[in-house]
Amino acid sequence: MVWAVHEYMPSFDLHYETSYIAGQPLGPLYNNLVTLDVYDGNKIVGDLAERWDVGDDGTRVTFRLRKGVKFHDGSDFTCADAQWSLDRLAKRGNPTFTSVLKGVYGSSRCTDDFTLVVSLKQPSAGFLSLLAGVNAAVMKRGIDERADRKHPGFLVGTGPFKYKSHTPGVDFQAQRNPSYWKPGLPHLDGYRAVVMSDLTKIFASFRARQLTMTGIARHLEKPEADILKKEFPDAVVGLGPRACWDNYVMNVTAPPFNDRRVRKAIALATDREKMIEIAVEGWGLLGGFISPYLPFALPAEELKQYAQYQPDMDKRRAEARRLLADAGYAKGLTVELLLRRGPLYEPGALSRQDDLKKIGVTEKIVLLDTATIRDRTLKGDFQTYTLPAAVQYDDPDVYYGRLVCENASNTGRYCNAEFDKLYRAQTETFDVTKRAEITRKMERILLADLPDDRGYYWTSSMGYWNRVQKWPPIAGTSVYNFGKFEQVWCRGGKCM
Amino acid sequence: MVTYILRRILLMVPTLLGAVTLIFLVMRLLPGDAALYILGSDEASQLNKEALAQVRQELGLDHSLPVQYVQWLWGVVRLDFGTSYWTKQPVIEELAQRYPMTANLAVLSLLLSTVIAVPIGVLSAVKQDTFADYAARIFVITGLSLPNFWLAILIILGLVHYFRWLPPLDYAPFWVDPWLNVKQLVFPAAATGYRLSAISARMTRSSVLEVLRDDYVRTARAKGLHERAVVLKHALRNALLPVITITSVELLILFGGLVVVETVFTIPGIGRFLVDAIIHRDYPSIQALVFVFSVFVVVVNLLVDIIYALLDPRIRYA
Repeated sequence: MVWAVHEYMPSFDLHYETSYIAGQPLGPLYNNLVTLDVYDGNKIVGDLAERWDVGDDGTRVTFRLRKGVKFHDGSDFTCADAQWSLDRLAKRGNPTFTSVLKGVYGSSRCTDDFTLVVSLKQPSAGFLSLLAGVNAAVMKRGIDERADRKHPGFLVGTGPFKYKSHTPGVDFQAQRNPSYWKPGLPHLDGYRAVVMSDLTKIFASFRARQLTMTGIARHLEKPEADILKKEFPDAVVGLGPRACWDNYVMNVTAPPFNDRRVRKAIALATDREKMIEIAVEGWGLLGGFISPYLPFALPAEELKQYAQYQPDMDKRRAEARRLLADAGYAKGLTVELLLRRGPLYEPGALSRQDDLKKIGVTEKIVLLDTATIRDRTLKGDFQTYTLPAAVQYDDPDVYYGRLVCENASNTGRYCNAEFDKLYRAQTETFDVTKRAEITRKMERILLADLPDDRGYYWTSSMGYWNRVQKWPPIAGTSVYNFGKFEQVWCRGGKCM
Repeated sequence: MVTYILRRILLMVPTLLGAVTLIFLVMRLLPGDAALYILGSDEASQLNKEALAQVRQELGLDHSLPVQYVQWLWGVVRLDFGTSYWTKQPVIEELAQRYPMTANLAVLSLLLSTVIAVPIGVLSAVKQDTFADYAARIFVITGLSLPNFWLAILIILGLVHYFRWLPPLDYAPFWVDPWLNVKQLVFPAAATGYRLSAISARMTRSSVLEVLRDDYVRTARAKGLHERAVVLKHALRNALLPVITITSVELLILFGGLVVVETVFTIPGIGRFLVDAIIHRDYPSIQALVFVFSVFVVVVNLLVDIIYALLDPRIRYA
């Protein structure tokens, strides 16, 4: 199984690396306490936890762990490893996905070698979802003290595959774990993630059958899909939703974006339909502040009632100009947009730049590499920036956590007490319908406040050969959670 | 002669020192923070200030610039370029692992370009103003005009479109699996070597044209020698001297091209490593790589100077 990633992972630490470039190659080396059944609508099922019970008040979760599971180094998996991993994730994991966990995680203790009791600060509807994602990997206790996280010695998991070799900047290879605790699995002998920074090269390599798949839920564009359909009858084009969106973040602590009228003018002037055509050639979805395919989002009919989603662009632009004039920018204004360099990010930004020009907002685009844009946005040293934003878990906690006051990921510094109150309420609500009622109220607040503007939600697209069997359907977070190749096999023993 | 060579070698020291200083300073002027990359790929990692400070301390980035400079210089003297911030491996090991591929590609590019350039240049000169000459000149001008990264992409697309084939992803040294080695590197070598061959062919043409008008060539013809012998034995041998000179200069430029072509063809050589090192703010690796390139440039220049001195006794220090 060979596929492409566009960049090499910064380290081997899944508790810290949020990008798919680490999640895809490293995920199959580990198990979680619970995981997603990628063949059954991403239902949460047991992984290293055989079963679990949630206490009556919702603040205690008891996990019964599997016996007889071994790490790749031959040592036994016990509760101490699970406890250590959970503690590390909550305390030292990457804040973008652990900030939510930190908010609910209290402590954990092992009552015996195979029973883990987790105490939560408050009931949490999203807690199990957080543990099911690729980043919540169960690692060997104390591994970070024994091995540097850039050293392969760090990679001691219990997963279906184990480390084989790597060349930084080139590839990462893993081989079948013969002692995997699930009998008969995995079917594949191994896999290889190859670094290819250029999309043209990725597609060319796929056509030359050097790759089994273009990428996992990635790296296939519409014209390329058309070529595959026309010229390669044994190629499969996989399409599905993606929990990722075009994100235009405005710094609401300083002029001009501390004025809601200016933010609304931006939202009104942005032609989302055009952006979808230009940036992703039609493979995008209109959405509000949470992925539109989730039950927690506003229905499309209601979303379209908002002015920024109305079809009449002339009317929207006139209103945008009026708002700008009211805010004191009748003669227009110039803002600096920080933009991450790269073919995936630039077309959407250029589309919006063109739209804003029509209402007198001139964007001076500053192209930056990843390190610099990261540096500036976290310091708050920006007026506006655009980066695709993604979540690893399709749960409202993760979508909305980043807009809660003082949250580590809240780079635009948006703060609304009512929104925060609703956030706490929804996280404690287990019933999906009731929870959705709250999240929809939250979305209405955001649609009025407009802390950022969302052009569109991405569509996941990939190409793979039809020799590949049991490849799961693409869901919102497939780019991270794709079943660890556990059940995947290739017809005739050949994957390309 | 010996004094001349010794003085040239001694002059390499201040040149390299200047290069080393420049590399060090330029790296520190770049925006971005290596510690952030090491901490993790996510933006919010920066908020963990303690961890950030610890990483900076481990990297020696908390020291003043002069201290960092002296440490780097002392390492260079001992050929210890430190540990890569990015891969956590000793930089010298990274270079040792990747250098053979780049050297292999460079040699193949040079061979390919020479094999193409010399016959084309000679043919173009001997058949001046004929169809063959015009065709050769079109080849040369095209080669000079095409950026090698664009040519590399065209080659990839052409191979896929017409043959549904691309050079294999795995690298094997020539002495282990010659066929696999050639299959993997011949097209990247063509992408880098085309420009080189264009320059060499152009120089060969003009040089051969000039030599063919010399008296000794007329004498050779007057003696009744076969035209092939006149061209190959008498004219070409002399005409190749400037070609060799310009090839050595182009070899230096070739390394720049390899950086791009290795990235496009996914070849794990030092050119691609340099690109990755820059992206990851891997100061030790970038400094080491640029230093290696600098040494290469200085050594090639030295060799050219020595060859000049050997060929032309008038070249000496006063």
